[in-house]
Amino acid sequence: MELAIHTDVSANARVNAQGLNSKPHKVTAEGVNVFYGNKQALNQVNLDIPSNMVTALIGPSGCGKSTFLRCLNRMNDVVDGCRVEGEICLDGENIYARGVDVVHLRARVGMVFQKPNPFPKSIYDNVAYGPRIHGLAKSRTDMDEIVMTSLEKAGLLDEVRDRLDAPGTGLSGGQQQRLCIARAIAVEPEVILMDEPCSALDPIATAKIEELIDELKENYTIIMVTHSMQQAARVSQKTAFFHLGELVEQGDTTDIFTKPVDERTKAYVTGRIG
Amino acid sequence: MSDTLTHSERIEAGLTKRYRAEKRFRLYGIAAIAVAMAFLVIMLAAIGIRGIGAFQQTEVALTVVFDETHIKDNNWQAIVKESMRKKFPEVTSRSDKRLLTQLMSSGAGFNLQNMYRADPSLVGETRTVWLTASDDVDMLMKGAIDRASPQSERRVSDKEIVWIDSLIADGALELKFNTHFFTGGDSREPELAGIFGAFMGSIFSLAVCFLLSFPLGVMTAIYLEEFAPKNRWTDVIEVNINNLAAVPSIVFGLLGLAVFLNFFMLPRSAPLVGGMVLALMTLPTIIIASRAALRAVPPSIREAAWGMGASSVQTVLHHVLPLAMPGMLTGTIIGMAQALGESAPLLMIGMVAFIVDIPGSFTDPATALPVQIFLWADSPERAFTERTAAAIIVLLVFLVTMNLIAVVLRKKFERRW
Amino acid sequence: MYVTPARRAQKAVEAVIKGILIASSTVAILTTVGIVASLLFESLRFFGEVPLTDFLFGLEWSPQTAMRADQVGSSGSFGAIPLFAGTLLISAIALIIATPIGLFAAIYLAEYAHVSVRNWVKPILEILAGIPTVVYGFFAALVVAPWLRGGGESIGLDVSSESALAAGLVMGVMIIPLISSLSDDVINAVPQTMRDGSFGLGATKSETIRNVVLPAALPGIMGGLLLAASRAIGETMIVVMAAGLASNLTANPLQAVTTVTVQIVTLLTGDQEFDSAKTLAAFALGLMLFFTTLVLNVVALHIVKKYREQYE
Ligand SMILES: Nc1ncnc2c1ncn2[C@@H]1O[C@H](COP(=O)(O)OP(=O)(O)OP(=O)(O)O)[C@@H](O)[C@H]1O
Ligand SMILES: [Mg+2]
Repeated sequence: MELAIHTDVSANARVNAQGLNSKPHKVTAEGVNVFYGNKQALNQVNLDIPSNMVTALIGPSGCGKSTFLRCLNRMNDVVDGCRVEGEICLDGENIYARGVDVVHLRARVGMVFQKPNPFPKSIYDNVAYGPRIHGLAKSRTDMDEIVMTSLEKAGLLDEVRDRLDAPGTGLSGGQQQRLCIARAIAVEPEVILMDEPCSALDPIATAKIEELIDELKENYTIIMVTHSMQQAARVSQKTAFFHLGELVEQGDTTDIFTKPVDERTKAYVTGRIG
Repeated sequence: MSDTLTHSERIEAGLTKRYRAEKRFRLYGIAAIAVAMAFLVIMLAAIGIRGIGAFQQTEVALTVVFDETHIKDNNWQAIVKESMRKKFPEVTSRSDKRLLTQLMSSGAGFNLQNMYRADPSLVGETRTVWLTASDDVDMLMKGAIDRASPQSERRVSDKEIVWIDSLIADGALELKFNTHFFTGGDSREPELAGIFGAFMGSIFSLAVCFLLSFPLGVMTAIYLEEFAPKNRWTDVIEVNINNLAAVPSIVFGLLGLAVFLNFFMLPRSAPLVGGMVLALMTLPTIIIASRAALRAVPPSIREAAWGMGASSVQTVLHHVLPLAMPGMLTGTIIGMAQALGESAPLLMIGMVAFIVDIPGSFTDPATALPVQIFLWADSPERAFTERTAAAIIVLLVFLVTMNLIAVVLRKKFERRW
Repeated sequence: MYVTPARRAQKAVEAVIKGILIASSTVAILTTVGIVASLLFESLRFFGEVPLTDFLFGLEWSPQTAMRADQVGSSGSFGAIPLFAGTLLISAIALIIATPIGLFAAIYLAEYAHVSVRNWVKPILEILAGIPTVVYGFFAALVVAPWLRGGGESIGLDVSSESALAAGLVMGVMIIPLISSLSDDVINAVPQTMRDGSFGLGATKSETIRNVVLPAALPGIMGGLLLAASRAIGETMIVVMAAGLASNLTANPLQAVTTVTVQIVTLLTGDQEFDSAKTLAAFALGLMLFFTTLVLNVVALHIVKKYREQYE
């Protein structure tokens, strides 16, 4: 099993080897502390995330992966008693600075959740939701185009073309998750956050989503949380390992899996803790 | 895209409007709560302002002679009349004399009679006593009759006002605490009307209601929660209870009228029947609360008892029931509070008559506090409005007390296993 | 296995106890049976004297004239349409007032209010539900109705002192807590992930509530509104004290209308011969009332239950 990962990773790494470090960082986090009430969930996290790549956040349950992810589009703002310290910059601008508009930020940093959560609306309206609230479409044909391209990009169009008016909740789990991705893409974000996007899906649906993520990185910066080491190895170029609220190690996925520096990382990727 | 605005600018452009909508929406929420609360405050204030006066009653200090002949004739009002005339010797004409005695309530005589009953040695004695004034005087004193309005438009004439003022100047006319309101039965004269009769009617009804609904409700809950198999029949009972809880109360009154009065020939206007009807009405509340209380007892307690060899009946009676009892009692008190405020079904079974006597048993004709409020609210006299509002205050005090007890009980026994 | 006599006696006692428990659980059933039987029985007697169609579709209600024996059932004076219309008018006013207030209060409490505010406001709103209806009736008849009348006069409107508006307004306030607490439950049952999905796309709170939470909660809210409607239709004391006695077929909220419950009370209070068509008519009205509220309740409870299951 371990072996399989290694070969897989090295193949992946070879493909992405060219110009890995030349791209600018899309998101940078510096000295991030997060508290839920008195409980500290993240401790001094420093992490740089390059554009147009997939960055995987891994680590044992409860280590703060979701917490970190939710900091990146300020989803923690809606959680009572949650406090964020430190600096997180998107294209060099601190998103926690005064005067930053959360609504605008979230339009730039989209999110896909662990459990597919389509709205109780038609497939069409699910995708049109974001563009509609942000006023992105000038006309109906404009909106149709946005919806179609988004569904297309999410690889769902062929499956739903003839039932756009059917409720989104009527799709299969994997289709629902792709619908959620289409919904996020429709707003044309720059960054897409994904919190264990495949954990509720079967292997075939998972494979489809992974394929999709791989395609999406051409246009978007993707940060995903995953519990599956294989998945991280398969789809990500960068990996960050969290443990007990701390960022233990980060780097190229290949390196994290083949020659981890920290003992804890080694233990985790080889399956000894977690 | 080939338009002038960039993606980001487009979003930016809509923001002000969206935030304004956000603010407005939030404001609607606050306004809704404010309106509901304002209504509550206005209603309570309106009732409070109208009712507070009834806790005082105008009384007049008269020097009365317990004249033997009048006592023999049982003509107590004559004693009052004479002492009034003595107080105002200058009043001579017949009509003025009548006006003068009308300053006093027809209940003043009863006050004297009661004094005599308590102490028969009063015969022939002269005493200064405080006696109840008429409702018109009372209303004038409380400002409900405007002195400044033209004489033809008020129920108290200028002459009477002169007498009243002279009594006030003598210190012989004062507002005093209205004990009679709490100890008297109903009356056609507002100044003599009290809530004690209705109160006793409520007590008797609630007692019957409690004695029936509490055991029945608890037993039903125990059966459904602890013993009943999950089958069609228990489903029917369950659905039935939920629906009964939402049946309009007046329908229960119709049931009482048709079944208890016309079929079983139970007495009309009796708290016994009132209590029975209220019991049927409260039953769903108590069952639902009791089931919740039983469900809150963790299964581990039952398992422990079974483990010690207790039978299922023993387990429930000795181990589960005591733990569920506070919750059941809380639900019952809330149910009783509802029953105390209920009037519609009582109208149907005749507990809506004019009843002067204080009911002394479950079968005496009686009304209940809310029904008394309904009856008084219909009376045209200004003084009755005041009493209606005062009766509402009393009723609300009882309800608040009952609910507070329920809250305290719940807090005290709130347990986390 | 050996069974001691004591053990056997205990078993017998337990059997008796269980028997008693089962017996008491049938009381609730018997109550329903009693209600249906007595309403049906008396109503059938009534419909023996007055044809069902006259009752259901007649436009004129004046039971007093029917006291003369020769007129019973012949003059069509037991036409219940004006009563149904009056009941609907007042209930509609009540719902029109209570729905937005109750719903917005629930939205604010569930989505915006801080826990401490919520802990204060919720019980205060519940007070409205705990106040006896006779108190609302008093307030409607002696405070609100004169205000409306005076207010109407000052702007040149003729408002009846027993206007449907006064009764409906006060009844609306009475059912605010019912609507707000049911909606509150329903809104809280909408999964947080659904909201997160919307926030994650950059929706504001109100956009999320309007476009996601409310549509998701709609079935449950509808169920709550049906329960509230049933409450309003069956409400007695407020209308007895504040609505009119005479039948009046109108949709004008400023006029006095009478309702089913008011007529039940007027027909049955006071001394009547129990067998007259007049008193029997009360049971026919009671039957209609019971039937209508039952249907509303069953449908409402069903909707709410389905809704709960959906998110469990
Ligand atoms: N809303 C909250 N209130 C309080 N504590 C929270 C909250 N959300 C998360 N936590 C705590 O913060 C810590 C980090 O949680 P987080 O959800 O980020 O972990 P995670 O790495 O995503 O775990 P998992 O892999 O199980 O999803 C945990 O200890 C968790 O209990
Ligand atoms: Mg997580």
